[in-house]
Amino acid sequence: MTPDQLTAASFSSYPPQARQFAVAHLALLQQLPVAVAPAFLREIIVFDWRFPAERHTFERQCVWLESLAPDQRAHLLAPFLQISMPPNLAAKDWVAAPQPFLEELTAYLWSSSQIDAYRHAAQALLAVPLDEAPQKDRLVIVVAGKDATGPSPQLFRKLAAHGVTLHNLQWTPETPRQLHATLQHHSGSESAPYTRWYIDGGEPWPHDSAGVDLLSYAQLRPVRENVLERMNHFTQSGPGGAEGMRSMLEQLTPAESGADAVTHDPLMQHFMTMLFVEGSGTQIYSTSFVQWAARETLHRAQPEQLLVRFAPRQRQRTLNQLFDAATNVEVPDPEGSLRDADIGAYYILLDLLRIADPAHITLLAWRENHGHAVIISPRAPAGHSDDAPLDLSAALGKYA
Amino acid sequence: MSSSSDAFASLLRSQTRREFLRLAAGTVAATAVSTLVPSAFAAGIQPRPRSVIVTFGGGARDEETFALDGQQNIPHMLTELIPQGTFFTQVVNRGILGHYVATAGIVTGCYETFNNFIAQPTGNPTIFEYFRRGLARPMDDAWVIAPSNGFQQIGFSRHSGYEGQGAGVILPKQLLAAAVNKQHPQSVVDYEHLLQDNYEMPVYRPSLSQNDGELHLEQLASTLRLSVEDFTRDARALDSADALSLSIARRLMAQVSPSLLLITLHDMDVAHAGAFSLYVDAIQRADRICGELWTTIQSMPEYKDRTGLFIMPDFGRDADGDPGGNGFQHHRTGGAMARTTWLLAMGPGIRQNVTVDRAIQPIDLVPTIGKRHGFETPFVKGAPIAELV
Repeated sequence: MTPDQLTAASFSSYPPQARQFAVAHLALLQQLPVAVAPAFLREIIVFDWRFPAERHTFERQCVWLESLAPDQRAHLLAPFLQISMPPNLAAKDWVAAPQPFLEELTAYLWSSSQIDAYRHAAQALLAVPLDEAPQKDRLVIVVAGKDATGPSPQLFRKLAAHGVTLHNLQWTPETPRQLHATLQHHSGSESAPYTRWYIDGGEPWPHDSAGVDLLSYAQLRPVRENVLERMNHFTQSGPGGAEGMRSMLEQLTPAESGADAVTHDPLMQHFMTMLFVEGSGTQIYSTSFVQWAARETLHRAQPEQLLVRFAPRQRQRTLNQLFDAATNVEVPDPEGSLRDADIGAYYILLDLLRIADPAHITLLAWRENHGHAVIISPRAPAGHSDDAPLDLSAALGKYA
Repeated sequence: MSSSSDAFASLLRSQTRREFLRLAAGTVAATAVSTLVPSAFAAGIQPRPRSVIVTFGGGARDEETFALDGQQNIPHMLTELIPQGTFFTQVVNRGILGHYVATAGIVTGCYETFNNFIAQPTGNPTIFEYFRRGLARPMDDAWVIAPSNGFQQIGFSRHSGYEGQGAGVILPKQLLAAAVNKQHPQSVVDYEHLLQDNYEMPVYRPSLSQNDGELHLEQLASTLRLSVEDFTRDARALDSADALSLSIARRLMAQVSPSLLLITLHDMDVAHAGAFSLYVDAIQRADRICGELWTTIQSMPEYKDRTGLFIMPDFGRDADGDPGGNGFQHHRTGGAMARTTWLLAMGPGIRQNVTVDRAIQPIDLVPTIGKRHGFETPFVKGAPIAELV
């Protein structure tokens, strides 16, 4: 099938909201070259499990393309028409199963040296003008270093260039509660669903769960062990390649992953499952999980308040042992985890800047149980430091 | 961030790195004077040359190596090795950014296009085949020490013109697993840190059939001339799989003295698991290992003053600012930072304390070494690197 042959009936196997979306944008889909149409369908086919913010983002993408003059749209799509692909690949059922098609296409683009051309074409196609709606102020707090005791003078160095380094931010036993209260206060009395999140790499701090979406490594242990077990079984059952494992995991339903036992929310069930299916290393290292979960949360749910807490990951062992949840004895590595969290905090800033204007963000990165922190916000002069003793409220009042 | 701003940032980083090298190590830029040191080896004036190639078979980024933030991770290369060699700041890999297929490209001088996750011989002849056929060298004169059994077929190509001319391949983890299984199967836990596997695709596991195990033990006895007991005892003192590779390289050099040796270090590919500290630790180990390898080369009469050492990551990793990737973790975007890496070359006929900024490609290494040794490389797509021949 070629895209111009798509009809409403082509999407009969899609979930209800996905089908509705595809039919609503059928004219656009029919104009897309076959090299890029499956990428749109990959987004559409999971539309029912997408968060409101990402639905909005994707819809804007489609509406913007539809709004272009025909020659402008043709100009953006022209590079995809130049992408060649073997007839047996083009003949595959990319409508019902866009993901496997895209995996094969990606491998072919690399082997045929077309990946760079495709990449450039995709970047141009995704360059949607900024949303003109008023930006929301976003507050992100990153806590790193649980159980780490050694000095870490280089901590948050990449962040420090963008904000104020606080040398004496007072951490007290009340701080975890105050952090949650700060996020709650920032959200106001009526927050929309999926706008306030808490991600923890270990056992979560006590908090009022109302209005907060929680992802914790402890809470999700059954899901990750389930995914690990399937990965382990796959590797023992003979060669299947990275694509084979990925395809196998992509088929996991929330019931199979165990996410349905963690939450009743189908969007969260799907999201939790995908964190371990799509995230590399999230199944074995809590620091990888926290960084990836924060990235995906920012990218997909686009929260307005986010608390991220890194906790010690297990120490390095052989991959075989790490994959075998039944025999793997987890020994923590707090110092290495602090270094992981350091780059993780920087990546969270980069992810935040992909969804928000710098004039509307506040990011506080803080070493747990220590006074060392960096705050980035429009009122925090880049590259400065502050030695004054401050509590959380005073610091936010001064710089946020 | 836009792609253009990424490219600009990448350019700035590159300039920063080069400037630092000149300031810190007092290196000079190679210009017209860099030119060509006559190939004393090929002219027959010097004893038969040897070459040791070290690849980082887990890409390493500028950020964690030669860029300002990364220099703390490579003290041996920065202060000991670069002053003795020529450093190429821009090695651009235009092929597939998968470790096996990219390493295959390095050893064939052509960008290979096969499935990275299926162990198979290369389609184009390897440097080992060019070398052995061109100089009529025996099999013991060319060896590969590779990290996992994904690489077991990299010594030979499928090319019909070079049958039986390839290199022996030693897989240290397989070797160790076989030795431990023979000696004390229950003690494998003592060696777990040396048995790290492929991080990108866990299908390559050091599991052994009985036949594989016997072949590895035969290699241990006949090539390395090591008893199982001595090998496992020595291995117990090592801290990583890459250190095991260095240990085997030293033993191979002492026992067999190959003229052509490829070692691929792989620990840093733990980056795929997303733990930055483990990735950086592995780079620091690789730096130490490169320093120790050069010391070893200079301490062995068979190698001293006649051996070229070529150190090169197979490629980089994704840029922090590339929304298509996840920073250091992978090399999936095909962006400039993932494609660009560096080469450090040292040894006789190679100018010391020099940086070269012009772009070269990893596939240029085979014709370069061919020219230094004096063998033909007729099927390569790369070109000899003028500064090294």
